[in-house]
Amino acid sequence: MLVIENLHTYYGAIHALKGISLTVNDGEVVCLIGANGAGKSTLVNTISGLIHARSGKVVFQDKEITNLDAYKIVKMGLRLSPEGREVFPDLTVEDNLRLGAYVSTDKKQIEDAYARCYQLFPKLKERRRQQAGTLSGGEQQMLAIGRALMSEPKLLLLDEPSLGLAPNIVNQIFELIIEIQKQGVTILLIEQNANMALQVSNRAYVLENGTVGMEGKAKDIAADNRVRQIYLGLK
Amino acid sequence: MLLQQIMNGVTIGMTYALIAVGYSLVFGILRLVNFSHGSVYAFGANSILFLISLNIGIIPAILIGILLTGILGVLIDKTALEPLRKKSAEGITSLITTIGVSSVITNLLIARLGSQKKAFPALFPTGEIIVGSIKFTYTQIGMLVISLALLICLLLIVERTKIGLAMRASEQNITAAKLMGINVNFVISFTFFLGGMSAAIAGTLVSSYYNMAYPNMGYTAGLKAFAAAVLGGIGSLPGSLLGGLVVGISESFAATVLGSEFRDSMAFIILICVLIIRPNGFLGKKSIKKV
Ligand SMILES: Nc1ncnc2c1ncn2[C@@H]1O[C@H](COP(=O)(O)OP(=O)(O)O)[C@@H](O)[C@H]1O
Ligand SMILES: [Mg+2]
Repeated sequence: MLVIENLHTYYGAIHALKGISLTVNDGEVVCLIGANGAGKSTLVNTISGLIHARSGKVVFQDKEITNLDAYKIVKMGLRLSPEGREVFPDLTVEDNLRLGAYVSTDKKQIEDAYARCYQLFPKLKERRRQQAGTLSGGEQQMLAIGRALMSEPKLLLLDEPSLGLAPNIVNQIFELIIEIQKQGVTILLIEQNANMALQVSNRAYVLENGTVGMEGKAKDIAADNRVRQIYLGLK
Repeated sequence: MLLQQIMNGVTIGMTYALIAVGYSLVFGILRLVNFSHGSVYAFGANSILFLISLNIGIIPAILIGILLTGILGVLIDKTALEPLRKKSAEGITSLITTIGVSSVITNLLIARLGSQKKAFPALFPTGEIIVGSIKFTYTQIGMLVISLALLICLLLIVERTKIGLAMRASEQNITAAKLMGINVNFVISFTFFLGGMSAAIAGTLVSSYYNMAYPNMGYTAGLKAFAAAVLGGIGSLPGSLLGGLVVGISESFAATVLGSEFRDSMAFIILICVLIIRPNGFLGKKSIKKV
């Protein structure tokens, strides 16, 4: 599904990604954990075309997409739900979702997408005429995810979906991730909440200072002593 | 007398509104005051006058001129502004660039057509309708109807179409808009196109109203329309209409009450007074911030 080879990204002189290689297979949930500033967001932003890599390769469904314009990558079926949700605050929930389906041209397909989304998030249906900026943090996160699903992506990148949410909402988000995977969407998940993330993932990568420090089955990573100490806060 | 002044002010104010929407739409997305817009307006009027002189018929000349002016708007963005965005240049760099572009366009017009004022044909039949104490000339009625129709079209485009939704999304958050699959550069080009076309239509109406066009005509009109856009709340289409009307009407009064030499400063006097009380203009959003 997604293959990344030796990716290097810079912010001016700051070398943020120092040769990242990683693979996401069809149907998997892969999680990316790592401390603040490790380069997780930089990685997904580079994959989605929001920032450009200086070297290396991103291949999605056997097509090279390195440094393509972001909107072209969305059209191919790869979507990012960005850190901080980034909903359009002054637009209604419905318009936000309509924008999620911006690349779809088929009316019927868009109608179905609304139906699926409202089924997954009944709250959003209730609030569909409300401005997105007036939703609670949890609802905005649901909207961000629902919006990304509107165009039926093959691969969904989720950047810290549980950030700043109350514990019971966090649980809902993780249940949702399992549900979305069941619907056939492949997921690359970034999480601070490494514990929960490792539970819902098949495989995991640990990012350290712009490099891949460790990779393996989620179970194995969760059992690793160093990971338990640094990222899971266990002894 | 009073009503007549208002009526005259409304007529010219509507054309300010048409120019103001160009500032407003572009500012909405790029947070950039496009100071080349006045010269685009002048280009519209002058190119249409030139096309009319080629004897291709008035209507085709106007339509082609409007289209060309829209394309000029797109070209300004593509050649001068988009490269700066790609390099993430500071806002001030783009601002100065638009001032430079303005000089270039005005100069090219002067070089090609000469700087003198030239007669612009009347577009509407002479004649008037008198209602009570107010006199409506056909020209005024024509200007009002066309301006209003155009403003309604623009509003419908922004509020009711897919590209309009993309414009509103880009206005709020360009990064998120890209993540929706929106080609933001296309949206920006489209915005410049709409602004250029509206300016050309305004230029045609004003030139026909005063029976003249000249390359420097965009300078004062551009500044006043900019004042109107800020007055109404830059980024808001209804704001542009309101701002345009306030500027038009106050000018009309200033000219009769204080004398015609006060007309051109009226827009700015009002602008300064209103901004002290309402820093975001009449209908401006509370805080326009760059995301
Ligand atoms: N826009 C930016 N400009 C400069 N440096 C940045 C920018 N965004 C992130 N960085 C730097 O790049 C590194 C990786 O950041 P980021 O990808 O946001 O980390 P994470 O998402 O893992 O917390 C950090 O050192 C951060 O300071
Ligand atoms: Mg991050």
